[in-house]
Amino acid sequence: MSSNLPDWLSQSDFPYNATEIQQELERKKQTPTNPAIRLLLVIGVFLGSIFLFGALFMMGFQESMIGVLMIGIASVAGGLMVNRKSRSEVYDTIAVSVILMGCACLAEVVAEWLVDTPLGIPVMALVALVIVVLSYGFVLPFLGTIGFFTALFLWFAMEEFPLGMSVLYTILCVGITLMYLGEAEILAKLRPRARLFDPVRLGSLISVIIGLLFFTPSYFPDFLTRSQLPYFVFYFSVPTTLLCLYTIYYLTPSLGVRSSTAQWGVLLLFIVILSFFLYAPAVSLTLLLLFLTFYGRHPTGIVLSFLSLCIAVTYYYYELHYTLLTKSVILMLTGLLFLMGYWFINRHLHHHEENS
Amino acid sequence: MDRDEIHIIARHSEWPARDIKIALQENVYPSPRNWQVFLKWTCLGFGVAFFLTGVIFFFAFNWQYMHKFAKLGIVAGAIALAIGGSLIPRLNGAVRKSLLTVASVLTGVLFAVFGQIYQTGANAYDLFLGWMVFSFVWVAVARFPLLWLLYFILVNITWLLFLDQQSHTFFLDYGYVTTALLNFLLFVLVTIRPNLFTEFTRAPRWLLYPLAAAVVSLYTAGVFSALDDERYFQPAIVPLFVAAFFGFLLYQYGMRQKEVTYPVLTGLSAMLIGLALMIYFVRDSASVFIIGSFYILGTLAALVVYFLQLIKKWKAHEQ
Repeated sequence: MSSNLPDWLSQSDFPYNATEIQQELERKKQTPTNPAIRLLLVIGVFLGSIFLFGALFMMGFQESMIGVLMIGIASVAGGLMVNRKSRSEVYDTIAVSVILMGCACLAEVVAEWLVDTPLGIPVMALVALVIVVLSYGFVLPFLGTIGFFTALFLWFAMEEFPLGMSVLYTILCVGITLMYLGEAEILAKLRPRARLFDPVRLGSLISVIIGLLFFTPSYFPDFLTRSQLPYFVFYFSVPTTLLCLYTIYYLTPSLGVRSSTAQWGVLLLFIVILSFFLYAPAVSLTLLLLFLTFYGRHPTGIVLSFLSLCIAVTYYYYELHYTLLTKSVILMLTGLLFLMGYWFINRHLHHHEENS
Repeated sequence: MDRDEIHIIARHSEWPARDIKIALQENVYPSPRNWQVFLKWTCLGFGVAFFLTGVIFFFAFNWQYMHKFAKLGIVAGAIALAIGGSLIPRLNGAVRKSLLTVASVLTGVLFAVFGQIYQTGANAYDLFLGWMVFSFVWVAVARFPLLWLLYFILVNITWLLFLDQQSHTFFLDYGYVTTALLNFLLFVLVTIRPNLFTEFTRAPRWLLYPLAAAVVSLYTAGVFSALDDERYFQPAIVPLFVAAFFGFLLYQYGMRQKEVTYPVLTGLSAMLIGLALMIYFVRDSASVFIIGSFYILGTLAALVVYFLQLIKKWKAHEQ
């Protein structure tokens, strides 16, 4: 078994738990991960929980809300216990479906009892948070993270609390930036609890995109017009632009740009570019996501960020209040600028290859 | 050392943050060279996309005072320039392929402008058919997978518009199945003759996966659609046969290539088709939900265990 441990570890000067490391490495070998299988699991457990929930209601459980509440609590608690204890995919799949069914039961009770109060959705967000903290594996904390943030977004949207929405969104964006740029520090700080790092990171990324599509002024002008706050769009664009600029500045050494003049040059260039998108925070945010996910070598994140960026840019040009002719000139000029960028980088790479 | 191993060691040790960062930088994070290549391709992709969109918007603007021959001449001239540029050997391969992509898209613009001038109907299927036929040469010459992917989308749009606007009842009845067949043929062509689509010996996965996903989702939708009418089962026989046949072939391809994505796609589809059949035959709502929940959880667990075993077996063979 000890052959599983990397050779350098035995010569390292920091303490480590060899047994735990060996066990986890072995477990990783026994349960390989694959994005296609994860997708199958997510679709399957959703379908399974819908049918389980339907079966309960066909049996007439909804006639007693106390009964539904008890089933909900028992399902979530039992499912979490199985999820923590079991190391078998079969039990884990069933546990995740049962937990989702339990959440649906709790949502039904909350909708029935707390419909006239603003507490229903926060209660569900709390349930999602508990599930994230207590769960193991990938699917459950991943779905829990999305559930938690989506519930909060929904709450602020329903309560028409625009300031809360922008604060939550900013916190989420700062969090995701830290998760990509400060991966090492988070691992060192959280240690065993960092098992949730991957699912929470992907769940947060998808929550940012969900927020972008449904709950922010970028794609949801109706929410913006209903807001009484002046320049509400800046509440989103200023934090995302600043985060994007910080990330670019942070990443410039990784790009091979080391002199401080060149770093400031790159930053200035992006200040100019991003200033065009102050009324369209989706562009600066999706650009930020693309940089972060590429830096973190996170393939799923790169694909999602790239698609979001394409949608954001398309929406930005679609919303421009100019004639088609003006838009076409702007688009062609933008295209030419990008092509110049390509030419410049290509020449730089060519020059670099010749020198080495 | 990969990211998972770094995470595992960091979780069960006092490994300092600074050293974890160094390990991540050395083993996981992109190098300056990776960044430059990424930015280079992003710039080229966005540059071509923005420029072409600008050209399309330019012609979408209704130029009242421009003579029709001038309009057609500008687009035809741009196509000629792009093709001419792609023939210059001094330019690098990516630029020449991008120019052929530009020419292929401009061919569609030419047909759209033609339709605008002579009022042939800009959305009619013959516009897309013309675009598909006349851009084929540039697409074939480029051997550029991204351009082929766009071309496959064009082929599908043309076929779907044909179904919608021109086809007879037979094709309409089997719309899903015939579209699945079309995509399956494209998939087979890409796998048996990859050199037609790329300069490399193997077609990229991102070209094959969308085709396979299209085949599987279309035949699954075909079965669902055929089972929609509760009175007759006969319309579902052909889609079921097609689903079994294509599903089996895709599964076999995945097994031969040792790529689990194909078996997962066909497994998911088989699970959904089984569910649709169960709903069709059981019909009673209460029984559907009760049997359905057992069926889904049982099938899902069995599929996941099977696929994980498959990956483990392949990994063991590799070692």
